[in-house]
Amino acid sequence: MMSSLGPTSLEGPLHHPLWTFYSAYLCRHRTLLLIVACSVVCLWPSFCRANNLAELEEIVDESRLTFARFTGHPSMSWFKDHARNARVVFIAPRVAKGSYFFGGTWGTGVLLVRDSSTGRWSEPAFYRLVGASFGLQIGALHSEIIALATDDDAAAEMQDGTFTLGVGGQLGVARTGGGIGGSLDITSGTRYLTVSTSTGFFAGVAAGATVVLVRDSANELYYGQPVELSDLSAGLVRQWYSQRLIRTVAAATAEEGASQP
Amino acid sequence: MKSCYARALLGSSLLIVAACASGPPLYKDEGPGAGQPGTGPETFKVLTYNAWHGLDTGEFWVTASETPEESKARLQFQVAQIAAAQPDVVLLQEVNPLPARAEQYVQALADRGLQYDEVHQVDACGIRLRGETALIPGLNNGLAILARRTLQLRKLTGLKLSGDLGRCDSASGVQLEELRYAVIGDVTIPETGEHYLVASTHLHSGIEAGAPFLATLERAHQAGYLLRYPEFRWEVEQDRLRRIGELDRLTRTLPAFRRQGAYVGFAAGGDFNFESDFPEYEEAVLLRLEDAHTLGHRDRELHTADPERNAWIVLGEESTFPAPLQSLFKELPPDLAARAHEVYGAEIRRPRRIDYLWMESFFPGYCVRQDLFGTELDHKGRPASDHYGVLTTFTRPNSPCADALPTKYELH
Repeated sequence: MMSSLGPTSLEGPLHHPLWTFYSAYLCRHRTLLLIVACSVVCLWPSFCRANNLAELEEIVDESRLTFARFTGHPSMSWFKDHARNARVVFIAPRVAKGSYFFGGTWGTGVLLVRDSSTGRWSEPAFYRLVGASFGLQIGALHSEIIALATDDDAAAEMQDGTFTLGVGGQLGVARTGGGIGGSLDITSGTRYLTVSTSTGFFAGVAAGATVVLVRDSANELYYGQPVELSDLSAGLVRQWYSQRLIRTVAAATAEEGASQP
Repeated sequence: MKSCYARALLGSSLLIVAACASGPPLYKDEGPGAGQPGTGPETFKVLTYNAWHGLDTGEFWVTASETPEESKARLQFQVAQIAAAQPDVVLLQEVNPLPARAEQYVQALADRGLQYDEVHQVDACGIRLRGETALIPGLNNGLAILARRTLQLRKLTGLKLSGDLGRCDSASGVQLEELRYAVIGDVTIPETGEHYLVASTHLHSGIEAGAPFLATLERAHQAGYLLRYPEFRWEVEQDRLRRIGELDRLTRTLPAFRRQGAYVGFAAGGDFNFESDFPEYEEAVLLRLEDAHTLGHRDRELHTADPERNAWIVLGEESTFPAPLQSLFKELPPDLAARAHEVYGAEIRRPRRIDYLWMESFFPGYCVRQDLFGTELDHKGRPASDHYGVLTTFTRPNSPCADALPTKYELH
C-alpha cells in the first residue's frame, strides 16, 4: 500500500511511454505547435468557451449589427432587395482565416428562417463554420459573411443542419480594409447569395471548401432545452434576447411600405 | 532534454489555463443578512457626473483649455458639491489625467472628512509609454468610480466596449483610434453584506443629428440637392450602431457577472450620448434595463446637457458645426443652407438628457428620486462642468415614496 503511494506513483506518469513520446514530440516541434496552438486560441474565439451564454448573446448581437450594416449601407441597396425575398438568412459576424500554403477557416454565426405563410422570422439557430484550403497562399483575414437563400432548394439545404457555403478557389492580393463587397456564388447546385467584408491581408491562390454545421450544444444552452431546427422554425421555443435581432432582420427584409410582422 | 520536458509541461498547462480561463474570480456572498432587503440602508445615493476633461480636442491634437490653477479650482468646486450631496457611489467620466485626478478627488473629499476609495479606467491615452512619457502629456482621460470606504469598492474589470486598435492602461497605452470603455466595480452594502455591481461609462458621441434635422436634409435630397445625403445618413447610422454595440457589450457583461457571482443587481451610469427618443434608448429598454429616471419621475426630464443654462457648452466645441456638416451644406443653395443651419442650430442648442443611470435589480423595492447635480455657479457664472450630473437617491420604503423624497435638490 505504501509503495503504491510512494515515489513510483508520483513519477510514474512522467515516465509513461505516452508522455515521453508526447513531450519529445512537443520539444521537437515546439515552434510549429506553438504557432498552431496560438492560432487556434487567437483565431477561434469559441475554442474552449463554446458553451458560454454571454458568448452566444454576443454572437446574436454581432449578427444583428452585421446585418444592419450590410442592409443599411448606401451601396448595398441591391443586397437589401434580394434580402426582401430571402427564405433563410445565415449571418456569420466572426470568421477568421489563417493561411500559409494550408489554410484554415473558423467562424460562428446564426441562421434564421422565414415562415412562408406568416412572413415571420424564426429564432436564431447557432452554427459553426469550418473550412480548409490549399494553395500558394499566405495571410490572415477577419470576415463578416451573410448568405441568403432565395429559393426553396437553397432554403431546404440550409435548414438541413449542414451545408456547404463555398467550394472553389480564391485569388487575391493584399485584401485590406473594411469595405463591403458582394459576390454571387453558385454552390453545390443550389443558389446562395453571399456577401462578405474582410479586414486583414491575403495573397495567393488557393482552393478549398467551407462547411457550416449546426451547434446543438450551443442551441441547447441558449434556449435552455434541446431544440431541433424545426422547433425554431415552428416558433415552439423563444428567447427574449433574440428579439432585437429578429426585429432588425424583419425591418430590413420587409416590403417597402409594409407593416412589420 | 529534461528541462525541455518541464518547459513542455509548463507551456501546455499555461496554454490550456490561458485558453480556458473564464474570467476573474468572483465573490460568493455568504455575509450576514444577505438577501434581506428590509435590513438595508435607509438611503443609498448614486451620482453619475461627466466632470469634463478641460481639454480642447482638435482633429489631430489635444491641448489643455484651462490653466492648472483653473483646473484645481474647478475640482474643488466639484468636490464641494459632491460633499454636500454625500453620494455613496460616484460614477465619473472625463476624469483627466488619470490616475492623479481620481486620487485628487479622494484626497479633497478626505480633507472634508469624507472617506472614499476609487477605481478607474483610462479610455483616451494617445501614446503613453510610461507615466509622463507620452506623445500628448496632458492626456490620460477616462472613467472613475468613487465609493464610500465602508462599501469596500473593488475593481472587477475595465471593459473595452469599442475600438480595435489600441489599449489604454493607467500608466501606459497605445491608442490608434477612438476607444470606449466601462469600468465595473463591486461594492458591499455593510448593513446586509449584499454585493452590487456598479459601472461608469461614456459611449461614443459622433455627429449630432436628430430627427428634425435629418428630415430637413431628406427633403432637400428628395428635391434634387444633397447628392451625398445617403452617405451622410449612413455616417449618422454608423454612430448609432456603434453606441448600440457598446451598450450591448456592457449589458451582456453585467448580467454575466451576476450569473457567476452573488450579486443582487447592478447600476450602470454615465454619459450615454443619446436621448430618450433615439433608437439606442429603445435598445436599452429591450435589453430590460430600467431607466432610474422613469421610476422616480415619470413626467419630467432632467436636461444634463443644457446649452441654455451651461456656459461651458456655449463657450466650447459643441457650438461649432462639425466638418462633415460644413461640407454637406456647401451643396445646398443659399436659402436651403440657411434653413438647414437654422434647424441644426436649434437642435444643438436644445436642452437634452444624455446622462443616465440604468439599473437591474438595484435596491429593489426602494423609492427612487432623481435630481440634477452641479447646477451651482462659480464667481464667473459658470458651473463646474459642461454637463450636469444626475443624483439618484434610493430610499427604504418605510413610508409612501412621495414623502420620502429629499427636498434639497429641486428639479429645474
